[in-house]
Amino acid sequence: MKRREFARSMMAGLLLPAAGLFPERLQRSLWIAVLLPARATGGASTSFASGVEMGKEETLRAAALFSRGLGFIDASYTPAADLSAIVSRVKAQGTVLLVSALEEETAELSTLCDSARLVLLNGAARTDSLRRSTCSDFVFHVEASESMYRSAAQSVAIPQDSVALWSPALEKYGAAQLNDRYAARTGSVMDASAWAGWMCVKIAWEASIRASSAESRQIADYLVRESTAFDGHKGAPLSFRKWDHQLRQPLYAAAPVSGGRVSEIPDVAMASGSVMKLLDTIGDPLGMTTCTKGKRR
Amino acid sequence: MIRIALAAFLLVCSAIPATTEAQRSQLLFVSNEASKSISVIDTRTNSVIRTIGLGHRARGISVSPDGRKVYVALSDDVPMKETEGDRIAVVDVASGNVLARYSSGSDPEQFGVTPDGRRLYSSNEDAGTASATDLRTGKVIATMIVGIEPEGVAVSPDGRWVYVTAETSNSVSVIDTRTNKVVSSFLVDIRPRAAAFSRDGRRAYVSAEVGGSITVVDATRHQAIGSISLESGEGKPVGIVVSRNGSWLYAANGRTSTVSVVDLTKGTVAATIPVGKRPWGITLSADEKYLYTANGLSNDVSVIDVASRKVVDTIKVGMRPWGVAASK
Repeated sequence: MKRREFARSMMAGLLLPAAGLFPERLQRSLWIAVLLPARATGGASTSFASGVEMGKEETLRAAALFSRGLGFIDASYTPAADLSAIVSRVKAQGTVLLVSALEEETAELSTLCDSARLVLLNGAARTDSLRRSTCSDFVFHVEASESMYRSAAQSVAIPQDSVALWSPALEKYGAAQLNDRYAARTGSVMDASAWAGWMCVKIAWEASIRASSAESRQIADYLVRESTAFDGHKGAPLSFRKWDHQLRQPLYAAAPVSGGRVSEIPDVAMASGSVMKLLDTIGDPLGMTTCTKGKRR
Repeated sequence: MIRIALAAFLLVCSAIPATTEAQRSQLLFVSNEASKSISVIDTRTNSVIRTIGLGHRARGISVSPDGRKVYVALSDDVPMKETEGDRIAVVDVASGNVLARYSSGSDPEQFGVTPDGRRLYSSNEDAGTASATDLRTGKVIATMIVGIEPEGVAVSPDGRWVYVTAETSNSVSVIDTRTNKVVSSFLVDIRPRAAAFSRDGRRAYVSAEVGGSITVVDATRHQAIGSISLESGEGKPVGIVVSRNGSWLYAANGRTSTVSVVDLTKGTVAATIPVGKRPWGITLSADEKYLYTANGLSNDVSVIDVASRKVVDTIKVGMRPWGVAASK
């Protein structure tokens, strides 16, 4: 393409400009804290931790390719611990993003992160109120909401506990490769919690490098930008809803359907129009949010 | 003595028709992932004239610069481990014989051959590396760490640079072929698959399957400079090919079963052509009158008339066709 023609195309808005999508160099190092329940010796927390570890390994490698500084701070929580002290400590250590596997404590954590201006990526709590009344400009939900699980189950007439965030039986859209990488690393299958841990770290790193920033405000703004999208090996571009900061994503029938294939809800492969609109058919619609903070609605 | 002379004469005679045939008509080579073979198509009749069994999943495919060999990336079903099944097969165009199987690291998927025909660069999806193979010795001479889940490989027309896309890290690693080192990396749109250079080497293009776009790259500076949205972002581009004059790019949109015709002078989609199911591989005929797509779910190849932008023929091939390459 000739330079003059290319410039004309850019001016006409035919080519999207590079700013934001392909940013300039990031000057400051990025610090990500990972908050796990203490004594994570089995179940979802252990899987989440394993997913986080794979995410760390891969993002550190990507950071090296781009000569970017990236570090992780591990924090653990016990019911006796002071959550406020943990948030203060990781903030003092330079953290701008916090990845969390906590569940019941997420409402308190959201309030603390909002005050501390730390971006929180919730990887475990499904509670709808976190997306409605207890909201923050700095809190984002990678785990799906109760509302999403409920409407996904209703749409295909299966029990709600048969709907999952991820399945180790997935193959399409590079899911097989992701499942294989995880299995080779851990000796276990990648379950929903492991995917959530891995995805939280991936989002944290990509948001920073794409926003070309290690500042929490700029990263939070980037996360709700209309053009922002992530690839979670689910076949669709995943993005955060502006109104409830919930990650738009397909869910899965936990048991493979006939033919051994896992059915996705909604069926992204069959989408004939906007995938984003299709993904918005599960979970809270815009009108459901009671959040009045910041830039919502 | 007479017997030897007669045998030599017969050998020469038997070689002549195949070679002449290959020279007269253009051949297409289609890698079939599930049936682990190559279908050879005569483009005069648009029919399969030969099927070459390879024994392993066949994916990336390319014809050597001199037109005499076809290279095919083979891999096994054992993830995360290099085995005898992970090879680059070298097929003789004239005879259809497999001449060699070169090592090329774990799970080779796509590759590019330097214009001098001396080296082959492949992406090793499992290992997160790219390998450089010396095509004279068949040995791997360098292994380079690239992005996470590497996929597409393109060699610049002057042979100096190799671009390797990586699906998970959304990056392109730039390899300097003089040193066989990664000298730079840049971000592209999400889930990059294939890369292709313009013939003058000034631009490169990278398809982003989940992003639904083509990233435009200034290949003189190795920097992404823009993005062209396909089908309002709902296109799912995988394989791409650029016309010789640099004005047109054709993208095979796997999941939407279409080909986007992109006018690179305007940065817009000029036409969308419905083809078979899940086209991934795409190539142009030598005269650029026809486009061919390998359609993985309908097990066929669509033949598109470039001028009318219509499918004019469909050719049944093996199971799950992946890539397609045209003879020189």
